[in-house]
Amino acid sequence: MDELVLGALTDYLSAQRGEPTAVLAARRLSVGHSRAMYRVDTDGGSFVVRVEQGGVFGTSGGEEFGVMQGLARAGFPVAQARWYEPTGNVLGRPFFVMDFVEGAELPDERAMDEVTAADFVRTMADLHALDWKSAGVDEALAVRPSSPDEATHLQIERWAGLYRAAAAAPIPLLEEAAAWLHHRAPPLERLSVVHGDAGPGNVVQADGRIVAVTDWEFAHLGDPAEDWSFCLSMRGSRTLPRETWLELFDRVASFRLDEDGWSYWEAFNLFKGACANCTCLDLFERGGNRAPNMAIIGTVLHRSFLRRLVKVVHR
Amino acid sequence: MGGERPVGRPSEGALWASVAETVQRVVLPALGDDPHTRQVAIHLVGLATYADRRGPDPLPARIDELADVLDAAARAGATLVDGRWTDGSPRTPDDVLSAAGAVLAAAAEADSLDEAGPDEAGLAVRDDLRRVLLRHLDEDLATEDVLLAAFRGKLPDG
Repeated sequence: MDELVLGALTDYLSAQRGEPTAVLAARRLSVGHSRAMYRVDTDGGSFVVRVEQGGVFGTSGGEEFGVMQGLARAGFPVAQARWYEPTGNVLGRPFFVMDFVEGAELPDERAMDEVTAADFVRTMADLHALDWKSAGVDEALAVRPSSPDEATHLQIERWAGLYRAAAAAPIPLLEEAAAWLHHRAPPLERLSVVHGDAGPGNVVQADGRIVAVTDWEFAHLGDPAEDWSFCLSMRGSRTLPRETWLELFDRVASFRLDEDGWSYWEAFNLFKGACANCTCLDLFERGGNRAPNMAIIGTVLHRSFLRRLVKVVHR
Repeated sequence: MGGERPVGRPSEGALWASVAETVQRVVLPALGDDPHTRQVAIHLVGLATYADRRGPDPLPARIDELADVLDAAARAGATLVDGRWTDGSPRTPDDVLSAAGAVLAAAAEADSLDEAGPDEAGLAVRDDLRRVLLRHLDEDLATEDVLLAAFRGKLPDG
């Protein structure tokens, strides 16, 4: 952070805390693509500032902030979300501030041993069973299904709509996949809070426990199978063997699917990724975000997801 | 003398190669340990290398190829194409890609609703479109391989 930004942030934190606050140190935490994250140490505590990046992946910091507050009310392990700045007037882009949660320093952000993985599975099962209505989690969400069976279709349309708005021309293989997903959507009995990007790398862990689940920008109401599949075939695929994850899902969360079910949700998550990645090329072209990773995600990452998606759909 | 070289100004290729080589050999070693800055620099090297190597835009030829498939299906009377494309329709990218997407989506729907799936002509146009689109996709992925390597933190040829 340069001095001008630090000054603006210092003023903002002082105003929010209601007392003069000195920023002692600030450093970027990771190479996040949709959000830039800074650890900010002050004389009033340590915070994380999570800054939007121009609309990458079409997600909203406001929704994420509201979901995290709702989950904290329900006693779910998340960092306490403190303040949301939606205007962009302070740092040039909207952001929110949450408490910094201390965890283990890992050589690889996706590293997770089996003991911690079991606690992760238990934590996600707790999320899926959570009484989201009492905690008001749904109030933060823009997409609210009126019935469980509507949820997956709404999500397919959400991602398809995002790609259609961002891409310069239709992408026929994505249109085919959207139809395939709609016509094979499994029935759902109960709506759950779905993290949407679940797995190693999006948690704070220490001593074999999950201290906090992070990165809630994709959270929505839907089918828990989406999270288990995301962990299995995407975030957790190089962390533990597939068989180990499946055994943990079954033993710890009593969750199991047949091969068709796993294929469906793998396709769903690949579709979601391929669609979301289209926003990056759009931002790069229009000047909303000219960082080189935007061009990379919008081209080869998008097409890598699409290639894997096609393999499942054409199977 | 010269051959294909532009006269009196640097070529696009030389400009991009200069960006890539300068960032890789001069800027990157001077950046220190900050992982974010180093990663952005590697991404930029990948982007410049891609820009240098990617060649002319393949879209016009691809649109013609897809339109040829749709024209042939329309002439053959494939019901999947009915209302979505007519032989000799304008070959704008938006029209052709919209029609290809609509035909594939209709085939996926027919496949789901009816155990028999699309008719023979429908299967033929679906398979032809898939084959062409997959080849285009694989060509792009091969061209963009340097971007994927950069995303994973690898420098070109390194």
